[in-house]
Amino acid sequence: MKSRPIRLLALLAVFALVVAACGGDGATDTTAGAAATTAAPSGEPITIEFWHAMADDLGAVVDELVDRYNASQDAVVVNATFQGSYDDTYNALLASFDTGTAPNIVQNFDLAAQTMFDTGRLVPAHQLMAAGDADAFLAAPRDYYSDETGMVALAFNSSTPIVYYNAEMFEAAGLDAPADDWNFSDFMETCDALEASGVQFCVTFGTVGWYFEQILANSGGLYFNEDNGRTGRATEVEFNKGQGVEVFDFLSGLIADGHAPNLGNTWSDTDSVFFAGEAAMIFDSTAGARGFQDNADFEVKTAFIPHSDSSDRNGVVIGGAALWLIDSGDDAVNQAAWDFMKFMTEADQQVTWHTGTGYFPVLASLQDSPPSDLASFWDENPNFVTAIRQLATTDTQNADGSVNYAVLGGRAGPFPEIRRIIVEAYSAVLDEGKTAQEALDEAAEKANQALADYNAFFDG
Amino acid sequence: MAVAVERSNTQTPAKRLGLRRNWKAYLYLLPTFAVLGTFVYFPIYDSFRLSLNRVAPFGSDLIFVGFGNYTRLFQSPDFWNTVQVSLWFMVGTVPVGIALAVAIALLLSYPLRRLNWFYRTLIFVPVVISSAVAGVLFRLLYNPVVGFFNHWLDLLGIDGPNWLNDKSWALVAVCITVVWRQLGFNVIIALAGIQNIDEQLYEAAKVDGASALRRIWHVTLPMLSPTLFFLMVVNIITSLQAFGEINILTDGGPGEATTNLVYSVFVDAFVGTSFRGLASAQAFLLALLIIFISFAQFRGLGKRVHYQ
Amino acid sequence: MTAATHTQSVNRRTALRRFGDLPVHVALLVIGIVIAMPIVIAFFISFTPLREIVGRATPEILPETWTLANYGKAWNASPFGRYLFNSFVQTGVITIAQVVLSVLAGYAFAMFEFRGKAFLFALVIGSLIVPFELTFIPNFLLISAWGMGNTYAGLTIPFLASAFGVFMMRQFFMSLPRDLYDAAKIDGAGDFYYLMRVVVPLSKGAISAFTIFAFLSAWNQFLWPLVITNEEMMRTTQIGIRFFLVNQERATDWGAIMAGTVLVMIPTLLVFLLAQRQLVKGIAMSGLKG
Repeated sequence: MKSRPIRLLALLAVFALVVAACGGDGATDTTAGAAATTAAPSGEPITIEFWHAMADDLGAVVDELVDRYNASQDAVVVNATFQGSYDDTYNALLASFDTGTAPNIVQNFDLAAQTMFDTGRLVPAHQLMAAGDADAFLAAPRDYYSDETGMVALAFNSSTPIVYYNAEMFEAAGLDAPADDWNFSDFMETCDALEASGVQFCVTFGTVGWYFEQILANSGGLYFNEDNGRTGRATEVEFNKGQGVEVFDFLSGLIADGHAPNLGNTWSDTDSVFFAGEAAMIFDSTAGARGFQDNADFEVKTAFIPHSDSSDRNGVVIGGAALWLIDSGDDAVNQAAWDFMKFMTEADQQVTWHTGTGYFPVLASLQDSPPSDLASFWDENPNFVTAIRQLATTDTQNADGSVNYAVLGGRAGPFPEIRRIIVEAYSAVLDEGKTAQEALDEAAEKANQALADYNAFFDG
Repeated sequence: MAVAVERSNTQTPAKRLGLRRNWKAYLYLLPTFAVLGTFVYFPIYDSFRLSLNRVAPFGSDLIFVGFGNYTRLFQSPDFWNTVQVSLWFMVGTVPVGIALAVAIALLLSYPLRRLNWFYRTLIFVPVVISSAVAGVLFRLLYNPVVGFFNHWLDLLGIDGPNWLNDKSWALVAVCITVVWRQLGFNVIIALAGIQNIDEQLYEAAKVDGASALRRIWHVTLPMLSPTLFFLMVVNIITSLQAFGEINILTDGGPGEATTNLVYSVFVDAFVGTSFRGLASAQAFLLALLIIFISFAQFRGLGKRVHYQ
Repeated sequence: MTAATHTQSVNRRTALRRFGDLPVHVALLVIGIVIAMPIVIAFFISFTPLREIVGRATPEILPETWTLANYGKAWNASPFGRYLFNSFVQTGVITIAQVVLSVLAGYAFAMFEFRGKAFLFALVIGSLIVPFELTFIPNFLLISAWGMGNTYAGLTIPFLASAFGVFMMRQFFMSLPRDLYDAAKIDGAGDFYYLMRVVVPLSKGAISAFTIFAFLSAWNQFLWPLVITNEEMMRTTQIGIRFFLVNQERATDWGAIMAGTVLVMIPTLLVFLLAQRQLVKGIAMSGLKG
C-alpha cells in the first residue's frame, strides 16, 4: 500500500517530463494541419476549409447552407469552422499564414479589407468570375469589395447602421415617422419634442467608431486621403476636416448636452436603456432588427441615420463581412472553393440567409423581383425593409457620374486601431472639455502615426 | 564561480552529508531549466531584440530602428499617461488595501467563542476569485441601468457618479474592484502575522496599563512590520501588473484613463493592428520599473523593518 | 511566513482584549456581508428573469420569481461545459508539472553538490522578479510559430516549471533533519528512493500548500489564455466568461451572465469551502500569489 503514492508521483514525474520534452521540439510536428491544400487524386472529393465568425443562431444558418452545398454535389466537401468574433477570425487567419494552417475560405470583416490585400495570399474573385457575374450584386456591396479590376471578395453578410425608435414615445410626443432624408437640425427638433413630452433621453448609442464613420459617409465626408484609400494607399486621415468635425460635434454633443446617456464604448448597455424606456431612439446595426422586435415591450420602428446640415444625404457604407478566397497554390482546390462561394451567393441561399439572420441579400435580382416567400417576409417585417431601402438608395455615384468614395467606405491597414482612437476622441470631448475639432486633430495625429507605422512595411 | 560554490557549500546540508554526485543533480534540474530557459530567459533577450525593431503586423518582417521605439515612447504623452495611471493605481490600491486588511485581521484575531469560522469564510472568499470574475461582478454593480452601487448611494442621498464612463471615476472604480479581490489574500497574510506575535508582549503591555489602541500602535504594528513590508512588496508588484479587471471593466478607457503600462503593452501587441516592437519596448520599461521598485523597497524600507 | 501555521486558541490575549464580544461580532458581520456581497448578488441575479432585472424601478437583490432559465441560456449560448473542461486540463497539467518539477529541482538544490550550483540557483531566484509581461510577447510568437496556438500544449507549456516552487521546496527540504538521510544511507537507499520514501512524505504540508497555490494561479490565469486562444472551443473559463460578457449581442443579459459567472466560480469556491484550512495555511506559507 505504502508504495502507491510514490508510484503515482513517479508516473506524474514521467508525464511532466514528457510534456516538457514535447515543448522542446514541438516545431517538428506542426505542419500537418493544412490538409486541404494538397491536390486531391481524381475521384476523391476535395476538402475545403471554411472559417466563419457566425455564432449561435447565425452559425446554425451557415451550417444549414454548408450542408445544402455538400448534399448538392460530391466533388467537394466543405468543412465549416466557427472561429469566434471577427477580430478572433482575423487574428487566427494572420497567425495561420505563419503556421501553414490557413483555410481555403475565410469570412472576414469590412475593416480587414486592406490587410487582406496586403497579405498577398488572396485569389481575387474577379480572376475566377465570368464576365458580367459581378453585375448580379447590389452596387454597394459590389463596390465596397472591389478594386480597380473588379470584385476581390464576395459580400456575404452585409449590414448597416439604422435608427430604431420607440413608436409609442413618438406618438406621445406627437411626432410622425422621421423622413428618410433628415439632417442634424431635424434630428434635434425631434429630440426637443421628445424631451418636452417627458422622455428622459432622446437617443442612446455607444461611443464606438462605427456611427461616426457611417454618419460621416452619409454626410459625404471622407475618412482617409487617396479617395478614402480607394485609389491609392491611404497615408493620412481626413476626418478632422470639414464634415468630420460637424458630424463629431453632433455625436459627442448629443452626449455632452445630455440628450444621450454616456454609456461608453458599448454595444449592449445602450440596448438596456432603450428597452427600459429611458431613451426614445437608438443607433444600432440592421443585424439587430429581429432582436429589437422580439425583446421590446413596445412597438419598435426604424428610420435612416441622419446627415449633417451642410450636406445632402449620401447613404451608408456596407458593413458586415465578406468571403475571401485564400490561395492554396493548387488551381483545382481554388476552383472548388470558388464553386462553394458562388453557391453561397445564389438566390436560394441568399433568401435563406436573409430571412434567417437579418443580413441583407446581396443580389440585385432579389430586390427587383423578390420571390413570394421573401416578399411575404418583408410584409411581416417592415424593419428589414427600411434597412434594405437605406442601402439601395445610397448614392454610389455623384451627380456628375464620378464615384462617390464617401459611401464606399475607408480602406486602410490599421483601420481597427484607428477605430479605437475615435473612441478616445469621444472621451477627450466628454471628459476633458475639448472641442470636436481639437479632439479630432489629436485623433488624426495618432491615426496618421498608425498609418505610417503600418505602411512602412508595404510599398506605395 | 568557484568562490560561490565554496560559499554555498558551507550553507547546505549537502556538504555536511558529504555528497558528491554531480551528474545526477543536473538530471533533477533539467526539466525545470528547460522550461525556464525557453520561456523566461530566452524571451528576455527576444523581448529586447523586438523592442529595437518595428515588427510587421503579420508575417515576421522587422525594420531595425535602434532605440527609436524608446525615444518615441519618451516623447509621447500617451506613454507618460500610462506611467501615471500605473502609479496612481498603485497609490489607490496599496495603502488602502493593506490598511483595510490589517484592521480586519485585528478584528478576526479577537478570540470569539463562536462564529469565527463563519466570518472568516465570508472575509477570505475573494481569495479564490479571479480577476476576470471580479471584473464581471463589479461591472454589474457599477452598471448605470441595473447596477447596485448607485442605487445604494441613492438611498444615502448621494447622486452616484457614472463609474466606468467618467474619466475621473473609472480609475477609482477599477481600484475598488482590485482592492476587493486582493483583500482575502491580504487579510490571510496579515492575520498570520498577527497570530505570530508573542503573547507575552501583550501581557507586558497590559501590566504597563496600556489601552487597546496603544497596544495596537506600540506592540502589534511594530511587531507586524515584516508582514506589512512583505504585503507592500507583493501588493505594489500586483498593482503594477493589474490587467484582468481593466480588460473587463473599462478596456483601458474612457479615453486612456485606465490604460496602465500592462494594458498598453497588450493593446499595442494584440488589439486591432499590432505594433509589437513598440509594445516590447513598453514591456521592457515596465519590467525595469518593477525590478527597480523591488530593489528600492528592499534597500530603503528593509532596513527599518523590525524583525523578531 | 512559515510561522503563520500558529492557530488561534480561545484564550489568547490580543490587542483587542478589552472590548466586549458584541461589537466585534457586529463589526465582523457587517464587514463579512459587505465583502461577500458581490458574490451573493451574482448568485441571486443568476436566478432572476431578465425582464425583471431590466424592468424593475430599482435594483433588487432577491428575484420576485425564481428561474433556472438563465443557466440554460448561458449553457446553450456559450460552451461552458467545454470551458470548464479546458480549465481543468490546463490547470491540472500545470499544477502537476509545477509540483513535480519543483520537488525534483528543490531536492537537487537542497541535497546535491555540483558545479555551477550557486549560479543556477541565482538564475532561479532571478527569474522570480522577471514579470510575465516582459516575456509574453516572445512566448506568444514562439508558441504560435510552433503551431500551438489554440492547443492545450500552448496553454500550459510556458508554465510547467515554477521558480517560486523550486525555491519553496528547496527551503523546506533543507530544514529536514540530517539523521534521516544517514539512516537511509545505512539502509543502502538511493537518492531517488530517499526522495520518494522520506522527503516527500515528510513534506506533505509544504507540497500541498504549493499545490493549492499552483492550482489557484493556474485556474485564474487571464492574460496568457486570452492571447493564445482564439477558438471558442479552446477557451478557459476565465476567457469564456469575458467573451460571454463582451460579445453580448443585444441588451446585456445579466441573468445569463451571472449564471455563467456562478458556473465559473463554482470549482474554486468548492475548493475554498472544502479545503479552507489548508488553503489559508498554504497562502500564509507560500505568501505569494499569481
